Amino acid sequence: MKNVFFFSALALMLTFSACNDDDGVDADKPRITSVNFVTGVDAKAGEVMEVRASFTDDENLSEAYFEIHENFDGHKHGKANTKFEASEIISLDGTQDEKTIEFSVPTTAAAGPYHLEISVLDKAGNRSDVKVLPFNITQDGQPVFVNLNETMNISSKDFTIEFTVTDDVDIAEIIYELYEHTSNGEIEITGGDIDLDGSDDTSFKFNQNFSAPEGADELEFIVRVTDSDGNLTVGEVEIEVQP
Amino acid sequence: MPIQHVSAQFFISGSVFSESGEPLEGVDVYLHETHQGTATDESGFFKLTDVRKGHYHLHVTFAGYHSVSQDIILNQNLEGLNFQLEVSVNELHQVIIENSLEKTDIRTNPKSIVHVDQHYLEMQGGSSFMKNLEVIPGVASINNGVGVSKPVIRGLHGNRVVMTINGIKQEGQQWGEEHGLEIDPNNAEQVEIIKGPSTLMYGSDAVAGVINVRPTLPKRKDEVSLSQRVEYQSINHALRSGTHVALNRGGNWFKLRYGHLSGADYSVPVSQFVYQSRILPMPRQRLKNTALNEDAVNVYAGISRKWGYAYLHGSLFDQTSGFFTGAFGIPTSYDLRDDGNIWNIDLPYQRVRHTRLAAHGNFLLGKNWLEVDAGYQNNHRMEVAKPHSAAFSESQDVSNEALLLSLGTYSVNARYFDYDSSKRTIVGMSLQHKSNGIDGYEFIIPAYTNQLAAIYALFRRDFKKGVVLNYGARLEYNDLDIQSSTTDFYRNGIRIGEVIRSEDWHKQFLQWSASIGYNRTISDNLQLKSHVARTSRVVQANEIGANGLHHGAFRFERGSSKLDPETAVQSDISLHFEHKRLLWSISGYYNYFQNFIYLNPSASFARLEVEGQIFPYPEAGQLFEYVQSPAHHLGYEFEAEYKLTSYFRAKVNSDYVLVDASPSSSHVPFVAPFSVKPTIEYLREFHHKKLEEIHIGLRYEFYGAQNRVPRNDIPTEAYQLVNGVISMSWSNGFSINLVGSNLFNTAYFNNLSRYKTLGIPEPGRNLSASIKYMFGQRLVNRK
Repeated sequence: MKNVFFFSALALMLTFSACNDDDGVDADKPRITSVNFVTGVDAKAGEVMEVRASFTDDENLSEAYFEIHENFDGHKHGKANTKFEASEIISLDGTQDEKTIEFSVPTTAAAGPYHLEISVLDKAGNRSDVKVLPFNITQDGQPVFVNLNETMNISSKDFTIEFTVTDDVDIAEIIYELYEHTSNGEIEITGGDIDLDGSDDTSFKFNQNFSAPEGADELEFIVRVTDSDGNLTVGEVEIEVQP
Repeated sequence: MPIQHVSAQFFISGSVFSESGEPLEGVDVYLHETHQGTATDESGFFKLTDVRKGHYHLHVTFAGYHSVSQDIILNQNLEGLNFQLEVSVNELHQVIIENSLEKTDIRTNPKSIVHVDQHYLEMQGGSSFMKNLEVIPGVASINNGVGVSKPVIRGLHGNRVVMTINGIKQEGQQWGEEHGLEIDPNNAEQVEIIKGPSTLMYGSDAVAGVINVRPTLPKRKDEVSLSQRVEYQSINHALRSGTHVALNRGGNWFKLRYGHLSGADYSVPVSQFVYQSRILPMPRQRLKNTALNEDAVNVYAGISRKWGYAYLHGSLFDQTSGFFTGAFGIPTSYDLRDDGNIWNIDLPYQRVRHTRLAAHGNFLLGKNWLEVDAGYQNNHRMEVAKPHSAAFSESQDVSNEALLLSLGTYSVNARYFDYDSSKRTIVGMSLQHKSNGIDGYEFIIPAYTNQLAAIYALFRRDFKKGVVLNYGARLEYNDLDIQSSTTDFYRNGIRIGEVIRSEDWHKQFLQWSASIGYNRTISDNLQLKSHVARTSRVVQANEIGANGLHHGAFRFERGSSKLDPETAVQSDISLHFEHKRLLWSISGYYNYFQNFIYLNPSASFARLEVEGQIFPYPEAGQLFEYVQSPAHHLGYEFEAEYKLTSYFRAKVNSDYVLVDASPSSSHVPFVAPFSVKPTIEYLREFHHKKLEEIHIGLRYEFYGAQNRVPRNDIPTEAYQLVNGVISMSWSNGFSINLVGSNLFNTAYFNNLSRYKTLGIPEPGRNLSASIKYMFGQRLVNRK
């Protein structure tokens, strides 16, 4: 008696584990095959930005989603200009499709780094990975770097970064970060925040001493300058450490 | 006409011995129905006085021994009632062995029921109430970091699992996945888990199972007890304290529990994570803004008399927990920057306040009992976030109150017990009025009211040859009234117009459920249980009217007004064996849902209609829609324990569950993978010594890969964990407990965690240390 129950329970278990996975169900993700900034990766405020993207799916495409959002790193400054945002859902058809989307960038869009984010769905509900592409919005009145070299070679541990930033309105904030490139990705070494809000500087001279960590080969310096209109300009310096 | 005197009063007396005939002192002896209790003296003697004629269950419980429950039909004084307690092999089977609402012993109940007490829960050293229950096969939890968790029974959760506190169902947005059970783990003194459908007594939503939480009420007359416990968890530097005071004077009693928890951001064994092929930082190896604070108060006051008992229970649970800043919208390295403080709770965060006031009573009517409870509870859940911060909508609202759900529930339950030695009948009714209010600039579910009225009857017949038949039925009426709601829609700071988030919807449902159970004692050691039930779960307001972002699940959810109640035929069979050194049990179940309700990823992106125009929802993800289709639900649970020597025990637990909705072969989210957990334990008890008990345990846990995940979800790989425990207790009332979870600091992904989609592994090594002091039990019975 005991054995009968035991074995029927065991049989039941085996039946469970023998249940097979789905057959003939569309589980393949659609893909974004190419994205092209037709009007360039620098979009001027007040003009139309054009993006062309192509998609493919093994069975049937459904929808694509385009979104533009800022990549200013969270800081809020500026009254005149606001960070630009837009999003669009576009219907797709077939196994391959290409769409050109136009975004009118308003004249009041704050200059700075932005992200274009695209994803796509097929008719079965499979979702592609999200593609995130950086681009910039530019304004005539955004901060300008003077004498900021894009690359730098240093031979000693200690070094100085020096440049000037100018603007037609007040400079509100300067944020800088120094990273080390390692095999595990980027590690922040140091950073700082110079708050110039309320001052009347239309020009600022940056001069800071840094020191490279032991054994570092490659460093990256990133500086973000925001003005009182809300426009942001990003500057980057690649630093090679020579032993 | 002769004057009818107050019914005569009797006493029950006897003695309790060990198997070797030694008298046992301090054994709890009490009547289940009246909560009248006492403890045995040095000679093992007990006497319960002031008992009326009637039908009772007498419980004899003592830590380390099998408890005994005896049916007593009392017509006269009962003397010389002697008990010999057997040492228990399994710690889970030591204390109360009675199913709290049905009042039948667990052994002869047709369902798989597990009972655990506070001592057991404290020894698990988990970070939350549900985490402590996870070792039980068939039970899992959905965790939102540490300290916030929801129950999963046999692969199902949310609207399909019921939790009761003192018999009253907890109503607190069960569908939500970002907030936990509103319960102070300190207050969970007795926990009973019923696996499988229990809709007859607990409501149409008790499809997967029930978690009954009960306090240990001060039953011993003229007893004062105090306890204080402090626990530290290394994972988030959490300090949890629990204070307990109980007093019983002549059957008038009072009990207070206060619990406090404060924890910092918790740690994970990685310093960066990869989301959508971008490397993101994890400063200090901690999840930023996952700190939490919790306060919980429970107050009880009551009387226990020969006619029964009555008591009031009031409680407040208040938890504030931060949301991981990388878990809202697309995580950016800026949001994840170290803010220099692991203890602060910044935006976005949530606060859950659950208040409850209830009256409970059990009254002797003739020889039968009427159990009544009536209460009100309010669940106030708030999400606080800056409008238009990651994935929250734009709003001109300045209060930062993103979401407010205020659910008020009135309930009245009555159960009438008529028992005889071979026939038992329970007839009951439930009334419930729920009202859900909404506020804030973004809410996922609508405002609604729900009235429920139900009647049920359960019968139990005991036949010869150890055969017990249980059968019963329930009729439930529900009136669900969903109110329309709107929000304002903004784009680039400009109001575009109004969005209709839900429309008026009003419907009545009349459903029935029924069950039949067959239980057979094949031999003294072997028990067969089988159970078949027809269940019909009423459609919930979120399944009809949801239309918004569910932050806890990273998805935009939309309800459907076309859903029908979810009906199923559920069956399970189990065998339980216990003999001297060996104990094992195995359960298998198969449930067929005619029209399982689940969220299906649609072929559209989330969008809102604003006065005829379509706008993508901010950071639109995929739209998930509630749909219905047939589903299979099957699985097993296995448990075995073998006493190797007097002090060494080996245990193994295993479970597996599969939930598939056809025809699209959609898998259901949050289903635990196959698991097997062998444990080796050293347990030694010393009687009449300073050190009373020492317990050392080492558990290895293997979890299989979970490839049965819903479309677009990420499968999880197999992983292994090692946990250890050392606990000691002394006769002066002190006990200490050291638990190490995930000892090897393994980085793994759990299918039941919402963080797996972000590429963030589960919490790393956690060392928990607790110290507890209990005082008072030795002061009684020294007359």
